[in-house]
Amino acid sequence: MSSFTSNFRSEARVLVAVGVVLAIGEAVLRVGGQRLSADVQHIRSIPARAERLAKADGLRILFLGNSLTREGVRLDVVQQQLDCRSPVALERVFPDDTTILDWYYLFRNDFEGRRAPNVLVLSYAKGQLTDATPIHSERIAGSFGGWSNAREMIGSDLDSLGDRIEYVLSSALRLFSERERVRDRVLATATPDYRSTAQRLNESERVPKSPAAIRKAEKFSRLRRLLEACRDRRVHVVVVAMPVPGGYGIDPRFYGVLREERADFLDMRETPGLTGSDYADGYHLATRGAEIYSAALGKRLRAVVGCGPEWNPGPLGPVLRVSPNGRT
Amino acid sequence: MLFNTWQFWAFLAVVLPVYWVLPFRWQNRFLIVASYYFYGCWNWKFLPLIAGSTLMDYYLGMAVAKAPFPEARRRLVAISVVVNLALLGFFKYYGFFAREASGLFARLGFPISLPVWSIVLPVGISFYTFQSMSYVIDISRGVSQPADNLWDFALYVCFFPHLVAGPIMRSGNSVNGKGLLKQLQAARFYRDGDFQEGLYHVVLGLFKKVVIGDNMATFVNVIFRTPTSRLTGPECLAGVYAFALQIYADFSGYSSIAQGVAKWMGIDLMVNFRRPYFAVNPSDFWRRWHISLSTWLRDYVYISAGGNRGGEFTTYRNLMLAMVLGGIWHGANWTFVAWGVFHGALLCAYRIFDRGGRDKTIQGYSWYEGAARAFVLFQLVCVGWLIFRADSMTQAWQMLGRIVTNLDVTPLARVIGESMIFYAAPVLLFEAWLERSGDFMSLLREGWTRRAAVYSYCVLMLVFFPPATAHEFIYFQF
Repeated sequence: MSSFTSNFRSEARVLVAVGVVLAIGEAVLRVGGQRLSADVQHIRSIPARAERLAKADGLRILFLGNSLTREGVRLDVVQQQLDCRSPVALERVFPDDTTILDWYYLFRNDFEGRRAPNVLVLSYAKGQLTDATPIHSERIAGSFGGWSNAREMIGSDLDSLGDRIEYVLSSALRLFSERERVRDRVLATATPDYRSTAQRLNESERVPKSPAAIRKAEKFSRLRRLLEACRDRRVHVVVVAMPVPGGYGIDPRFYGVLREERADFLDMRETPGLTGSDYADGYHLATRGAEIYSAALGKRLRAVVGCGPEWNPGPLGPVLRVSPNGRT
Repeated sequence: MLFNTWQFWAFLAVVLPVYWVLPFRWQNRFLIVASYYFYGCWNWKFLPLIAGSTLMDYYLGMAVAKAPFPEARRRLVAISVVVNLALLGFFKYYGFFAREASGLFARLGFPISLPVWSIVLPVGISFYTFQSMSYVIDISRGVSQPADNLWDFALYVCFFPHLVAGPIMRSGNSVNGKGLLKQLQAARFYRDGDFQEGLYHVVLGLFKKVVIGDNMATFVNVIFRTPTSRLTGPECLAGVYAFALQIYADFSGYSSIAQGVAKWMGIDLMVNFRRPYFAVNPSDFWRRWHISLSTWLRDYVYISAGGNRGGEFTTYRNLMLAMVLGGIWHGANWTFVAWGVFHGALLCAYRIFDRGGRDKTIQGYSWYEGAARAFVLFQLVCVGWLIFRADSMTQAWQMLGRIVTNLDVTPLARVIGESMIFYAAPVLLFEAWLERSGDFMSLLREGWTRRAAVYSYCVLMLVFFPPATAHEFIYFQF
């Protein structure tokens, strides 16, 4: 053992130097990480957005989603359609590539401790609300709570020891939590065609769904957790199925969860007026499409949540209004 | 439990300290338990298979040593070989045999179909059965002695760093270095330099596996899973080159980590790769690639069949035999047979046409001649890799045809090319430096700052550039 120790000491300078390099990398990411992408800038702006919403007067509505929300929801158009005489504060939060578990931890981390919004408009497409969505543990650890969610994340969402260690490392170090973004940024520079081929490469890695994954796709426990957290904070949730090219189906069990958790549902998959040319990249809404969609969303929201002084969900929460066809 | 997972390093963090505080005899028993646990993490149901193979070869080894006549020794060796090959044959080749035999019977007009079972291949079975066999054969040849006790032999078979993907270690000392059994029978001391050397092997191995091997796997998969008619020539070529890098980085990375981890326990595993893509002829390549298997085939197949002692024709026949068996060892598919035939043919052709260059390495040539020879050989080796990786011979032919008839450079081909440079060029340059210095451990003779720079680069790449999907080690399937 003593020989091991002396040998270890002889190589200690090398290990310390490696540690110093890692510490410099960590410092660079902490100071200049915002430059990595617009998404990082947006994520770092979420606490300020939450604060702004918490301090606003009147009805406070939070639009939570991902890039579909970023490209598709225009707050000015929604505001116009709500047409409220009393003050209404709208805020959007849309980190890239996020799904239900990210939204759950984001809500708990940034909106639970403050004066919560009155209404949460949760926009999704396809299977983004099911339990089969991938767990972005590095992102949740780095951006949506980290240590404060560690117990719940490790107890409920991460099964393997490896995932748990990565979560802890990502909670502590930006080197881990931001590594996907660093990788994308460097590869986009080193290999100019990287972005255009990334989708094809990702598809080749996709394995057929296992029976376990299929079973998970039929479950909505993560959605239920978010709805319960919202109910505890007396936040009225409106779940919105967004339009995407090709459309998608909705599992009947999903309606059951919404009914039990007293949430509203707006089916916007077939928004009138949208055509194939309204999708900029074959998935996200372009400028004209976003205007059409936001106008339609504003109208439907007004019917569901109303605005101003008449907003009063009462002591037992909002009235249940699940409407698969979008009518309330 | 893969070497490139946190689970493994957590396991090692427990095993290493316990191992070093235990007295010698308990060290081996503890390592047996740890190794069986390590193996059981994949599939505990196959533990009796290793235990059975261990018991059989242990007692056969003792019986061979005590056998009074050569004939009796040969019979006992035959039992070991037949039973080990039967195990291997059943798990690895039965499905292939049943399918091919049914097809043959049908073509001959006898629609007999053999039962096809869905057989799970026990991880590492090709490695530990070959190792067990070599133990019994070496005792019969008088090259090594039987184990003193069952524990030592059991650990020789199941020692976890090399259990599932080699290197295939010999029991006694050989030209490949110290025999594993011999090392396990002696008390171990932590030697000065072991930590340093182990760290070097582990860092380099992880870099090769995770950064090069796994990232190349993504490109290889997209090319080989796409119908050839939808690929261009440069895409096929880039896919083949990427596979050449993947299989080398993956397997040599695994071997390197195994060496490093064993080093931390005071045990030397043999070098399994010596910069094979700097080989200048087929013979040189096989002295550098998967050395533990190529020397096994040399010692137990090529030499047993007569080697080069029976004239030119016998030599060529034995070369082909060894290489075809080497191909079949990799799995039950005609592509592996064809790969073995291809390499056998290369070795034979080299013997016929390049008599002057026999046994020369890259150092024996001027730099430009050496580089040209290494380049040409690499292209030939890549033809072999195309056959090896293809799902069928049809796919291999189609891709080869595409490479020579279509020259459309697409963004995907460019990305693969640029990625090969980004991920693998630094290691290939590093290996060129090692090749020039003629010492695999050159970095350890340099100042600590250079080592720190290399390790920092490796660690940063490991942190930032792991693949989107982690891949198993390729050789686990063999």
